[in-house]
Amino acid sequence: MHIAEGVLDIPTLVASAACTAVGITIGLRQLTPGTLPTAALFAAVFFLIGTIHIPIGVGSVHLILNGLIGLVLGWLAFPVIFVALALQALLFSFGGFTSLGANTLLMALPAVTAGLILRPLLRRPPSSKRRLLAVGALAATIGILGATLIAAAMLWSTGGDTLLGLITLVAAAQTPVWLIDVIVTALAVNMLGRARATAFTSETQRDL
Amino acid sequence: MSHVHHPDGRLRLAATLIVSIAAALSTSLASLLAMFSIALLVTIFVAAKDRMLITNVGRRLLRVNAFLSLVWITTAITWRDTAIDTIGALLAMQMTLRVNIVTLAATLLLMRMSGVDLGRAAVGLGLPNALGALLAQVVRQVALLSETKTRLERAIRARAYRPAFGFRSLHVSAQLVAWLIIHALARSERLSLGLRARGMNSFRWPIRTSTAWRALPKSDWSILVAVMLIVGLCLFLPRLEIPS
Repeated sequence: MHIAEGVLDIPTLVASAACTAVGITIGLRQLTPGTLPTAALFAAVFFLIGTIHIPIGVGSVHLILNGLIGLVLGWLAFPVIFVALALQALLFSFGGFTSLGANTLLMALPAVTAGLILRPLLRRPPSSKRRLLAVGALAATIGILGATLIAAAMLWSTGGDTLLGLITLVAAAQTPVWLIDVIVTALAVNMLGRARATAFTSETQRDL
Repeated sequence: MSHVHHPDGRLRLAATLIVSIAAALSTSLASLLAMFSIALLVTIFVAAKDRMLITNVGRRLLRVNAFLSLVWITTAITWRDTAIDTIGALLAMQMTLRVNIVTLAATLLLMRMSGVDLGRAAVGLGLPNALGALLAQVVRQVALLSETKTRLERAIRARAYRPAFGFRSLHVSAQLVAWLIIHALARSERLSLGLRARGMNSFRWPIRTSTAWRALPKSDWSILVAVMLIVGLCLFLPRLEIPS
């Protein structure tokens, strides 16, 4: 989910960039030169996840999985998403550089929220299959609904009621994305939990 | 100076940011139209020499304008009485011009800039070293992991998988995601062990320092100065009183 550059007004861009800066500062505290390759690997994984497309009718939607990012990375989701979005802006013109703060905030804040709420539930492996599926589905719901709400708030603060139609359309367009993300995240969390339970525990975080 | 010289990344990134901020700040249609016309003219001029640019710009413009068509449909028309909403149309017009200006400017100014160059340029403009280093490292890891992804996708296709809308596709995508994360975890462990085995205990961010501002050639500065002049003139345009 990206808000194109030139859509949001200056106060919204500045406010969201300030919030993103706070998130990145907290996230960067976990990063040291020694753990840089590990963090870069995760950022690369989530950059590549964005290139996986699911066909729907004549079109397709790409996976977002920001809930899963939050589950695995916690606060580090802010710098990782920032970097992935900067690369997307450079290579594909998705989003842009002045809207980078806004786009990072709308993707990373729900990711971190999902991580903070749901990671404690996976702290003691092995988790049951039902728990893993439920946590995955909840993470995706928090991730996509949170991103949609933040995007709607940003658009509303820019155009007020004039953009109400666009906000409704954007929110409606996220419904299939949410459904797909819920299923894929739930299944992925279940597989990860069984194959590599430490992916969600502090052992991964110790490396980062 | 490299064999094929590209202007300094910091200046190109700064010029892009100046255009983006100026476009976001301006509410005057005259200014935005002037900026758009200049950006389009420069693109046509450059594209005449560089055919690759036509495809690149065309694809990017198509993508952003597809989103803008939704903006026009939802804001410029009052569907209840099928009439044009003047305020909505003005807002849609401003957004359309801004998005197209920024897309054209970013494509032109950041042409052939790699992710590593972007990281260096951003650090040179004040981004923390950690983020710049992360950006540069991500580019490397994306290249490595995309090979893994291609291999996994080839293996999936070899088992007669064809992407379609259905539970099987979602299940296979979830497997792909989980496998990519597992590969990354395993690789990061190997990397970490390898670094420790070599006694690596780095306390410095691996980022190259940029050339001193004073050492940059005048031709590099001319790009930034030209962009600032054009943007300044365009923003000043509505204040000009043209005698009738």
